[in-house]
Amino acid sequence: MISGISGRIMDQTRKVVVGREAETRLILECFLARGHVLLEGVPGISKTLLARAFAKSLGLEFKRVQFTPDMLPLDIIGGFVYNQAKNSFEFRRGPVFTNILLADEVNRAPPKVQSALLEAMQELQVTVEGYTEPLPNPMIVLGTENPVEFQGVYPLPEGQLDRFTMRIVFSYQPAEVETDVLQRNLGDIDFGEVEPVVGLSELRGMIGEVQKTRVTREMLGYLVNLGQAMRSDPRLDLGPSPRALVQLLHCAQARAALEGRSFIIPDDIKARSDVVLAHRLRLTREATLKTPGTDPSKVIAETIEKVEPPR
Amino acid sequence: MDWSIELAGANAALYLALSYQLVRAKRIKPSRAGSLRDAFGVLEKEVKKGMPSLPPGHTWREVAAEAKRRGLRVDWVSFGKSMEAYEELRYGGSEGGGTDYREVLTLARELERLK
Repeated sequence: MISGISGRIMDQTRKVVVGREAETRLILECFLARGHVLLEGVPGISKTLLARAFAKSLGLEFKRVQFTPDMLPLDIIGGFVYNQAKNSFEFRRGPVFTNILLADEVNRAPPKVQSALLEAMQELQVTVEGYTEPLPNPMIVLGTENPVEFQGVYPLPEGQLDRFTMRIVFSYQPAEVETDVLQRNLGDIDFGEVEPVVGLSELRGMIGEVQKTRVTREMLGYLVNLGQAMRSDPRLDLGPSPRALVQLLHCAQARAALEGRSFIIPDDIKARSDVVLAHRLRLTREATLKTPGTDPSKVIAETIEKVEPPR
Repeated sequence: MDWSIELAGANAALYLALSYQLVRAKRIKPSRAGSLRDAFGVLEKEVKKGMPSLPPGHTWREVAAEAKRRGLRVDWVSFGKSMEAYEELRYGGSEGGGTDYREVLTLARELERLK
């Protein structure tokens, strides 16, 4: 059931975004895994376009917030405003109350704002002055980051990066695909072409189906072994947290379900290790200086080669 | 007289070569693998010997991909079905009975020939 829906969503996003099937698929997996995504890439590489098309194909409410250094937490989560007619304060919801929130340039906002957003992402509810309101279900944050800008930005600390289930790196497309992108942009991009192909109840059903994807105890042991091997790697200052392993497990379940399986296999875990773990690992200064070219992705790749999966 | 001795020698060499090939081909008999699980057990041993470059973290799908890359003669459609049935048995909790696993043993034999 789920694998068929994935194809329908791809067909819709393809109407406006050229050559981003792999990224669309990852965002869908993350959505089904009840996670949030960090989209990393230089400006103008179709991150926003894809997010909008994805939201439209799912028929969900979509909001975009451009993060700036002068923002306040209430610009995101909302706050109490005085209603003169009722002579009382009432809660006005911020843009976080949506199904899909595009947090554009999330690292441009000051730490207080980042923290407010990330708390909402984690708890799926907002609390202001003792008043708590749940966020819509489902809800996903697509945060974007520009990797080459350093001025006027507040890089997300490790603890906050850990809240993003996946980091998807948008790289430049091959020449042929880029030619197709230019061709597509000769006219206006019409979002009206993108039709919703899934209903809200169907989406909730899909999320429930993913949660039921079978995971054997041995497979859990494999995940733990991977995590522990990385934590004891001398090249790393910071290995994957238990939360990271839980999220990797959820993504493996989503991948399995999208491939039409009701159980996960070691390949699901291996295939999603990099995209789920790389942004959470921190290399030691020694590893960075002594062996240029070493990066978290290399450590992950070497670890999954060493750790034996259940066969 | 001379030529008959030579002929007998050639015959003996031919029969020896044929017997050797026959023994090699029958070393992995289906009886050694009485079930799908056994067949993958046999394959596991041959993978370790025949594909020493595969890292310890390999999966069955990676084994199949590597074997295809090496051009080993296996019916891959049939192997794929056996592999999926094994995955269901191993990770999905199914019974896995009645699945044809001949191609799993064919791959094991092919790997043995590589040695």
